[in-house]
Amino acid sequence: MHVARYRKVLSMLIGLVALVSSASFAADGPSVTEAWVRAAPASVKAHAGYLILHNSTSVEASVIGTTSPQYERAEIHLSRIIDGVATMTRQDQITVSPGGTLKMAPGGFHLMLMNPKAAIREGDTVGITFHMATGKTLSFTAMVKKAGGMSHDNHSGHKHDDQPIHKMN
Amino acid sequence: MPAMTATAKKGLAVFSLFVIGAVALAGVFALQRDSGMPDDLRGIAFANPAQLQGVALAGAKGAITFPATAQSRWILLALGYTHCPDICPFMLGNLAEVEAELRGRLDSTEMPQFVFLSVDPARDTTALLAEYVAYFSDSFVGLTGPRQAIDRVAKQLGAFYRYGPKDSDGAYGVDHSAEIFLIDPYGRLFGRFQPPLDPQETALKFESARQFFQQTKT
Repeated sequence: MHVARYRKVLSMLIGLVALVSSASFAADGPSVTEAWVRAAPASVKAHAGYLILHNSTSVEASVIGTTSPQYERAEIHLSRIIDGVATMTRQDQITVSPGGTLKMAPGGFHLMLMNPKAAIREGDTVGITFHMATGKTLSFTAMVKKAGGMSHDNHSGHKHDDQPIHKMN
Repeated sequence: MPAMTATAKKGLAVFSLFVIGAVALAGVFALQRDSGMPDDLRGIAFANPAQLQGVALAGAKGAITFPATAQSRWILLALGYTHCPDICPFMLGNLAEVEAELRGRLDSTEMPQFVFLSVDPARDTTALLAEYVAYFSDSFVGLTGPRQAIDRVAKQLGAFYRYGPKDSDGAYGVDHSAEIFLIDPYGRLFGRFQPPLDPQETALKFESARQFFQQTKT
């Protein structure tokens, strides 16, 4: 009797835990973490955003466009340094393989956010939406923060592990 | 006789290899000794630093000859433009870290001047540049000028820049050298650093450059 009741409570608890955890992963599509926008002086009209895009699904996830209500234009760009020359090219789409992640970090993939509609300062948040090839959207917020060079947002320890600028030569 | 020939050939081959090896070793040794350049400046400093001719540029305080004819400070120069949201802020933030590291090691008179040369004068006014560089460090100087003047500086530095196509909004990117140019107190192109710069390593290399300059200046 007592045992049966415990079992019932236990199974209810397990059910509840399962429900809560499935709720927190309810967005069973691609997700974004560690999104931030590099703070810039007020008169600078082009900002860069960085993030990690996770694809926990079993199919490729492609971002085919990005928008922010706080900027007139937003695009995905790729910076590279080839033979000592920095270049930046617009990317029509970025694709993350099933189960993979894509890190958008200084010196590589980044969001190019152009012409802020109002001043954007350190400590603000920026709303960003990714438009996926599936027709779905993925919205997230990015913190605006000031960052240096080597010590940008790299919490991973060794500073050479994650060279922020990709050397291609 | 064929056996003798074979032995002689083998001997000759061994001897040739020995000579080639000796010449190569001597060559390597000569290269290392050529200028007395410290090991840590190899790949950064030039054996024969080229004298830069002064070019009229514009800064926040008006016209300026760059590099100044009676220059006494070292200069660390980065090329770029303010509409560059990724690489340029990264380089300037990185240079600010190098500056902070150097401040802990050098007197103010020994500190280099950090310069950001905008290759996009159409969009980068001297006022905008001043605001931009001050965001990274109060002591940074922003310079620009007419395209011919920028071209003259770039050519002397061995630097490169190229405008990308304008899009429907008139926006464009500029490809540009992402190196940090080191100019000595005589206004000579002393060397080049490749970012990202480790602040401590760069500070040590800079001190090495100063010592080498003191030893070899004429």
